[in-house]
Amino acid sequence: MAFSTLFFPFVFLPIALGLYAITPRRLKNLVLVLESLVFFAWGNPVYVVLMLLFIAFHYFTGLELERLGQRSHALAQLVLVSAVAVDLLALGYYKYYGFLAGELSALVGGTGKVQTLAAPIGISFFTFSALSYLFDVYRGKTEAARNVIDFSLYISFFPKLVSGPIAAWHDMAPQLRDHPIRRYKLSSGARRFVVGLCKKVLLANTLGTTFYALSAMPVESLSVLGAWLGALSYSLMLYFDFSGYSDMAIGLGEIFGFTLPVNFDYPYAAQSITDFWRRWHASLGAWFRDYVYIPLGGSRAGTARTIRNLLVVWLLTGIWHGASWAFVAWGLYHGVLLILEKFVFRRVLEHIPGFVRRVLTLVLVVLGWVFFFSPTLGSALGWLGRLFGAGGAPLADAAALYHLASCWKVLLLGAVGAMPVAGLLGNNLIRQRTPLWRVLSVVVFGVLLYFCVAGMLSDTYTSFLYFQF
Amino acid sequence: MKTLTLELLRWLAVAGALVLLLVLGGRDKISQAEPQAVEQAVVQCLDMDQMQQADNQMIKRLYGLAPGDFEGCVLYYPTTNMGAEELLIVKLADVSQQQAVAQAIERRLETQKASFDGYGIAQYDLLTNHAVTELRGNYVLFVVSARAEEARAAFLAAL
Amino acid sequence: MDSQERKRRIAARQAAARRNRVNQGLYLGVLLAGLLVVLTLATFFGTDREYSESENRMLAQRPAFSAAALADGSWFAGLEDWFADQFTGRDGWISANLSLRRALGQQENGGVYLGKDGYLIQQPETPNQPALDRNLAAINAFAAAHPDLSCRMTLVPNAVSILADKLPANAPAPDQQAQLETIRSSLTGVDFLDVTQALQAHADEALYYRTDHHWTSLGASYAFAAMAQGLEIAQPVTEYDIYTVSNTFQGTLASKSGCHDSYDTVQLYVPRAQVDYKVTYASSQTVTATLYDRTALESKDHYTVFFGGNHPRVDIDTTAETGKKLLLFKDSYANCFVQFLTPYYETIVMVDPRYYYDNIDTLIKQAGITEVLYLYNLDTFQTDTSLADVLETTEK
Repeated sequence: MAFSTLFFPFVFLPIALGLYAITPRRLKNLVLVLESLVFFAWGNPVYVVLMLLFIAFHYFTGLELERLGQRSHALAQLVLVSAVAVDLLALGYYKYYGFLAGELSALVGGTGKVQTLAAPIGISFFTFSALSYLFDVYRGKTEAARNVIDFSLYISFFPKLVSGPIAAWHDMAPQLRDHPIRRYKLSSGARRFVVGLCKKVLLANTLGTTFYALSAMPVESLSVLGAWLGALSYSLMLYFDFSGYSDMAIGLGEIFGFTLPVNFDYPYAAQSITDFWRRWHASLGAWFRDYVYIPLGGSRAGTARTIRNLLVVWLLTGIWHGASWAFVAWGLYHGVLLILEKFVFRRVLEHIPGFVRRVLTLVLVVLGWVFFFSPTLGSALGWLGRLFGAGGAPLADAAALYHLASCWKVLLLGAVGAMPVAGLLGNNLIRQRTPLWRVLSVVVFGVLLYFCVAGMLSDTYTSFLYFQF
Repeated sequence: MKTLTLELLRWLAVAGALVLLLVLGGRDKISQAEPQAVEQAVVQCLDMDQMQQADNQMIKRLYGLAPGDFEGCVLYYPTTNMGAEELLIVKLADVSQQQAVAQAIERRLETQKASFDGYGIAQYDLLTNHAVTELRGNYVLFVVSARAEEARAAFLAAL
Repeated sequence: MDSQERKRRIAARQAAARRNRVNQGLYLGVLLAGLLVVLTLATFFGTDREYSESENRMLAQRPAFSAAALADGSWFAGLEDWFADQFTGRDGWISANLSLRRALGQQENGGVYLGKDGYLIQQPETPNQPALDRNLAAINAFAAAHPDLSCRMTLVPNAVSILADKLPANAPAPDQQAQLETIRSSLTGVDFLDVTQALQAHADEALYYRTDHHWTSLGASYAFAAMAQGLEIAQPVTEYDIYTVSNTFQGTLASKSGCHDSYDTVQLYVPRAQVDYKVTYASSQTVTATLYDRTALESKDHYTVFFGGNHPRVDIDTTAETGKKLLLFKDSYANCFVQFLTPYYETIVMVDPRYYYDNIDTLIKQAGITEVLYLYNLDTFQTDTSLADVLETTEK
């Protein structure tokens, strides 16, 4: 069940919150875990069993790691490695087996088609949460979880279950014991949820219609304008989709008394690629930094090692996003850009005015998204070519002009909404003191909410598809 | 708890997950088998004298299914109006078609039962006690025959 | 001293801001909760609708609970579908959303262009090339196997090409002229009767419905005039009694796009000719003396006033003693076209291959067919998957 389907805010959330509120304090976490399991069961109920086994495995592993950590480092290491191997195998089976087996079968002349089971929702996210726990315990950074309910909540808490933010164990553990509902948190959480909903339903979905129409066209028939429209509408759509989802998750977390890590901070206003990755999906970046980059030696072991570490991290980041060569290319593209930024163009960049740096960064990021949205590496290269008029692409054609007319207003709205100025406007609206402004801000939110509901409902609009031709 | 107990418990969890995955994986396997090969395997264990192969129009007529919608669709139907032996093998183009095919089979079976109920005792017995419907991933089998169980086994083995 | 003063002031301001935020949050919270509670309760305790007129489909009902449905997830999914379908004021929300999208620039919805002058224009589907090739091969083979029958074909171009002026500026549309040419050139032994020019000459008239994917009787009348010679009709009647039977028609495109702004007029064209006829519906064995079904005007789809919709086989026997007996392979575009044919044929057998499964050679022999006409709109013809199956049935 996605947060942006009608059923979630109208039925699931009120019931979940109501039950949670009337439960005695001792049992609150248990109720929240049960609610999270229902949420998880929505798509594929059988997988609840898998989730429980997953939790049990990490719970026991954590306890064992702690015990061994005090006695035998080698044994602890063995336990950790075996657990990580199990997790990566599970993740690999669901996300990569189809891809790898397909590639292999294609290599030996097979059909290249392999059937796999549908992945449990959020598997990449909760696996990374669990790994964060094991690493923290192994290093002695935190104690292992004693309370199995609290630990289950850490893994399965429904606001962050499906697409993050990936909360690290050392951030979440203190909150698990005590997370009272507070009125100010309720109201700011609700507001954040509505903002996220607007991003997803009003902006991302609208931009999506343009992007999907353009990407359905054969790449070789795109004009330069069409290719740029597609890339830009995708860039904005992805941002509003993902950051909207994160906003909803963080808002929901607040409603239940949690503080989840901030995931997005106006990434398209970044000054450099390094800056971009501090602002885009920050919880994933932090995870790779804490659990891969730094353990590998980070940037303190010489230039060659740093470059290797960066490439490893970005290769993994690419693969994490999905199984295809295009994702690998996208990850490496960012890795290489970061290396260039750090070691080659550092001096040059310092002398470029900030505005130019921002534009440059934005263009590089948008080019990167072409790898991200293309189904294959070949089509990504084709699309990149069309952006710059390769293969005799015309500057504009009728289709591009048609889509431009359809989407320029939304693109403009999105461009403003993706910049820090949107946050400033919003905050100012909230902070105004006069009654008139207060009423106005509520009216604004009311209207946005109204159109969100309309949008969510319209996503279920289907007329009878069989035609009496 | 002892370390050994913990070690045991966590591998127990892994084993449980594996069993679950195996069960789930076996349930809806997508077969790459060619429809002709499956048909051959099934036909070999049935007495085909009582059946004739149907063309697409006949499939549409008896089952309301358009063979063009599937990757493969073969029907053998009774040679005479007084026969009940029948064999249908469908390779779905998409698993989402499973429901529609199952319903079509159900309707056909009901029609046949209704037409033999009360006067074709042997046929009615075949239809009630020796009719097998098997939905496996992207393959569907429907067979009415005294040797339906053998056909089912052959069908499953051929996938 | 000074810094303490400043700290106090900052603290006071922050406290005020927090209060303020809380209040504003409170209003919002009340609004949100109010909306949630009212709409959810209204949905839960409201009466469920079975059918949506505007979407033209059956709405999801409360799912029946069972352990099996719970285990495979279908109960959860059913619950979500039911809630969305029965949501209070569903139609109003949907049109609010469409208004917003249009204000933001959207020019199509649900595969329908929101055209000029209230025209909704269907985006044609991508042709199903293998099926099209198979159909064309079957048509050629059929013509070769029946040299005694004169075979003809008319494919009606769709609004997307004839009403190109009404499309949003620069809207992508296939070149239907080229598609027709390709099809025509691959036919052997079949006369292709072109109606494109006749329709284009009258493109400013109401040839297609604004809210439905069909053509109007007026459009069909121009097509008939252009085809008469090719059909070897020597003196076509040009006088019609025209009856307007509906001014409130909102067709499939209104449902598909969710845009319910305009209404259509449905007209019947009755040729002024002294011919009586009886119409036999093979599937239900009903016989009537009219091509029209007035009860259709009380239902949603007023286009079904012609024959009451599609049927596997309809036989029209007339008192015209011309010796011409027509077999018509058709889609629903033919339903409003047949009214122009009745004065010239002793028998017209309409076969809709999507629902027809009997042997076609038997039909030809029994009915004594002398001519064959394929009449489709181009969009359906290029996506049809059933014509070849009918044509390939031979005598056993």
